[in-house]
Amino acid sequence: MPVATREPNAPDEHFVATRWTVVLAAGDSNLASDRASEALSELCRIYWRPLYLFLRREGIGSEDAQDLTQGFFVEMIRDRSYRRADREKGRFRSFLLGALRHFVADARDGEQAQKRGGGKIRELFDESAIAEVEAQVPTAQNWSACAVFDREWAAALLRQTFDRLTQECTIAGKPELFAGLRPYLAGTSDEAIPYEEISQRLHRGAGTLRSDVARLRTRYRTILREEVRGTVLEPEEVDDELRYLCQVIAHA
Amino acid sequence: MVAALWNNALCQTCGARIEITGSGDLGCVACLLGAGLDGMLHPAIPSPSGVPDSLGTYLIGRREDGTPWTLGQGTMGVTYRARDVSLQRQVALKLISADFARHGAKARERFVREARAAASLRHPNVATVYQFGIDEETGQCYCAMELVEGETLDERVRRSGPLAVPLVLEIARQIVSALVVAEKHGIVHRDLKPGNVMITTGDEPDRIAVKIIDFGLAKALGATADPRVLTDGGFLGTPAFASPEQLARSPVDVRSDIYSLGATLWYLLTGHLPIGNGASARLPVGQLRAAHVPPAFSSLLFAMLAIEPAARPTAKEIAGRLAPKPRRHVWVAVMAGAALLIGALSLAPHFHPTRPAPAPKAPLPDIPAKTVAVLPFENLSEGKGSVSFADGVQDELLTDLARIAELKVVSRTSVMQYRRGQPRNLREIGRQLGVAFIVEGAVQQSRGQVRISAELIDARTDLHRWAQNYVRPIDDVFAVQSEIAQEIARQLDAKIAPSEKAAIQAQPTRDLEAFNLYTEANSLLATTSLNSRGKLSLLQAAQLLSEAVARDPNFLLAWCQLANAHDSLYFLGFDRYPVRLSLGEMAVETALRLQPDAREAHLTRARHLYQCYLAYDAALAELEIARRALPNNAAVFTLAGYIYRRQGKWSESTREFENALALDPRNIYTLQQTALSYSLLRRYGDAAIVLDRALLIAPDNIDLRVTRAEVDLNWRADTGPLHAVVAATLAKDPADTPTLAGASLFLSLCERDRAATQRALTALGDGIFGPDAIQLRPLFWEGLAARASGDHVAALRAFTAARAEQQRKANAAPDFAPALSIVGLIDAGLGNKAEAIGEARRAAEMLPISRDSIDGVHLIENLATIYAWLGEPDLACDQLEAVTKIPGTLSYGQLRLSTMWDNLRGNPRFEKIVASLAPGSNR
Repeated sequence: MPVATREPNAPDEHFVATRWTVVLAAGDSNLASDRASEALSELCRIYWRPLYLFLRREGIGSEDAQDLTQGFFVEMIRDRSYRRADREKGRFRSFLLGALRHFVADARDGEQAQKRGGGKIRELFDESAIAEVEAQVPTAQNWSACAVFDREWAAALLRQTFDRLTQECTIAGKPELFAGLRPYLAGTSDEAIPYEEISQRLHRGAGTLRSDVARLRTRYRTILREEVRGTVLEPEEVDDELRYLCQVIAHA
Repeated sequence: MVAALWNNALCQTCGARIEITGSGDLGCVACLLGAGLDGMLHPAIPSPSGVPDSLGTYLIGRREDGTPWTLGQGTMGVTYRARDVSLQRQVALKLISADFARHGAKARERFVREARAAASLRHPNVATVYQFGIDEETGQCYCAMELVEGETLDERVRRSGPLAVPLVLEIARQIVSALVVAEKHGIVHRDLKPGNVMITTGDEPDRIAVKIIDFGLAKALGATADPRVLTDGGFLGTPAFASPEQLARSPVDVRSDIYSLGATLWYLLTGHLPIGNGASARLPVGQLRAAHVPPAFSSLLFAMLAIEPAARPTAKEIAGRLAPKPRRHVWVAVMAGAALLIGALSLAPHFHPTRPAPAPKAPLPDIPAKTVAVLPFENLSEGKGSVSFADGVQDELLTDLARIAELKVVSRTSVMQYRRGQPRNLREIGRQLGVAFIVEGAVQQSRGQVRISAELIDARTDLHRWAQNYVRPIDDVFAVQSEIAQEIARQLDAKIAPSEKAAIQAQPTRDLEAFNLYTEANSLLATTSLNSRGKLSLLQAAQLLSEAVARDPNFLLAWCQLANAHDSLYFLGFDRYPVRLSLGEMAVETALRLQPDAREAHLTRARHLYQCYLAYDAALAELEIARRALPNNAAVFTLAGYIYRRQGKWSESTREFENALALDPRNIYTLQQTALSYSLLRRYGDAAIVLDRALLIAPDNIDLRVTRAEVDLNWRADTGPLHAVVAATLAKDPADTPTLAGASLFLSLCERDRAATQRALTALGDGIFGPDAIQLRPLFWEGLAARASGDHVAALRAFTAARAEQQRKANAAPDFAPALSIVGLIDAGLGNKAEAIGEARRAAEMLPISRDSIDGVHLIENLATIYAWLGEPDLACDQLEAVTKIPGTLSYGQLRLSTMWDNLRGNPRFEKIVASLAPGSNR
């Protein structure tokens, strides 16, 4: 397996403006940027869970954590505090956690207290989403707050990847196919795939299923890399970021 | 990489536990992320019809239905059963993943070159590589190997669950013997994992044979034209078994295989991967406990799984520790390499089945019979002081036995963890302590009589060897102890030299009350730590011992311990008044006058010379006298370790700590000191491992928990663990607030939490807190806190008061450089530039690093702080650059977080220094 050869200039890694680069560019411009705000809103929608669980792991209660997470995003969009983003670091993940810490420190001083529902993204939390995340709070005690954040960040990336892939398959009229093959997306071989069983269940030929698996895996990988690309500054950083997250999961 | 299947527990690809996340149940996050990595995705395996019938001289086998006879599939390709038609033998033929061939002629050349190197490895535990080849026509690369009948370790674990300890030990021995040879040839496997080790069927350790497959193949396939990458190879392995440096794509050598082997063995023992919880990289040691893995084997695994490659033992060292040792070597723990501190005892005596194998009927051969541990005696009396009395009886018995050269007796600190109150598993305790025999007993005082019962148990068989009850007048207690000691020696067939007999029969004191006071003080001294309550413990111990020697002026051991208490107060900077020095001096002289040849007296004098005068050579000479007389006394080695450390002789110091731990394996204080040495060397990963080991012994020890959490703060600037420890401890028992005052204060200043700082200052009271001899008083901390929060008026007020107080201290001890340096710090806080710099410089000249490698460094750190506060960033950075290049407490976390350095933030030189200490900065 030749890992040393990179895929040169794969289109997904070099599209000109990722959400994060738009945000950074807006930070440079000193001008209001609706586009940056929208991009940031979208990033927040995807990545609020890691921030929320980080706060919960820090011992902040559920209500306060919701207030702080919401307030943090609202302030960031309103005050365009993303202008402070550090180009040197270039990772949205690092920036967001650092900014949250500052925000919480300020909030603790009572200077910048935010109340719920005060911003553009008040729809961020619904009860079921909170309940889903809250269910992980006891488990989160097993790790440090930073590790919790990184782990949940990785999970959020995957969730977003799956969401997109699900959407694509649904549009293509193959939601059941996706559901049936989803457990095998991470693999590179067919050895462990019970083709016969799936074939009978989905009424689809085993040969066709093999092609489906290969296509889905390729698409999954492309989307995952696109999502990671959206959080780093340079396309070359995608592998590093993925490797870092792998390491967090394996060794944190 | 096969598919990541969900089974609600473990990923069937990498073995990692599948956990539900805040984003729902996603499957194995590690595998799913790994699938996105460049080079990790490959075309589906060739369809059966795509497999050629033959390659070179190899004919690929077919099953009855005509499909190719697949033996296995890995990241590098598919392996088939095949026949070498030329040599008429069966082989395993690996067809390298088809797309490798697409990477051009150069890649193929490299493949052949690396493959040849791998093929040069011949070892009974390595599947021999017969040939590497490339099919000219199709470009298909292949590799013909020895056909090993059996199953992979991965298959075995999946089939029958975790393996028995003896079986894993045998597997480990065989793999390691192959790695030793591979290391000689400079060949690294790079993908060592359960799936790449074949085992012949059978469960008996003496009947299995292990073969490593795919040796060197990873490099052959991962090499590129880039010289760095050529050295490194790429990452091909399963992430779960890959070393941290592999995942980081750093250069790898055989130490990477050591890590992978550690992970593999862990998996075999537990069915799980050694994936820790949290950023602290802490290993899930509970898994090993649950699998009843002997502590010594656990320690070896911890060492193999060290994050830093340098901290891992070499293959040869592991082989040495796995090999059964001749009896006479058991207690001679010759440990090469500092990392082996972690498992300082030779492993062999501990490697006995605890779970799956039947109880041994005969004594296990490799624990020497003349090894004994005296567990704390049960106190059957009521009333104040009775517990101490029972402890004293046990301690005296232990001391008497330790005088007998033929016996090896586990030190007091290691056995005190086995107090009564919970059921004792003597076999397990025997294994943990590495002893064949255990002494248990009980003490009861009643109406002027003492009843002592003692039992000698063979820990290997759980059978009583001897038991006896004694009822005597209480004044005869010491006579009873010496009788018991001599009887135990007789039972163990240990000869007692005349001088030893005389020492055993000598009574430490005729005054039982003095003995009780001495015992109580001993407990205080044994648990004195460097926290803000340390001074109080030492003062209390000194008071008790003063009363003891007042009652019995001939009580030698009490005089020795009294000297110890006074000297520690002086040495640690708690009390530098000359009178304290004189008190210590007087106690030492009295001890030597009472018994000029007493070993304890010489040990005490050695400590005195070291602690009070930093007279290293004289102290070591004195220690040598004690060492000859007390060859098995761990305290001698520990003290030598301290002395060498002060001298900056780090390897010598480490060796002495190793020796101490070999004799006293469960001494958490020695473990803590060892970890502190690692922290000073900025080997935080090793420090964490040692502290984790200590925490296994004493999970509730607050000092250990704080020290462990501080490793994360220093290492990664992560305050989370310390925060958690402080919060959890106080939630459990608010009475611990004063104990945690120092740690809380430091934490709050790092986190700029003003309210928490105030709480910590209140908790500190009139306690003192600071690194080593830099004992900073509450007024200084008040000033610093005010300064940090911008309250200059309050800072001025506090520093002014602090200065007057500190100046008095410095005047009282004009030779004590740390006191003068602290005056300089306070002057800096007051803005007295010339005075501050002059004082700090003078202090640094008085105690240079060459004289004291610990406090000397602190004095330079103080000078740097003073320059920083007084607007001399370049001068500050000059000092910082110097001290961050040598061992010391200044860390990435401290520089990054501490309010001390706020004036330098943003300064490029300072930021460069901080970055140089950051984790992974390749210092």
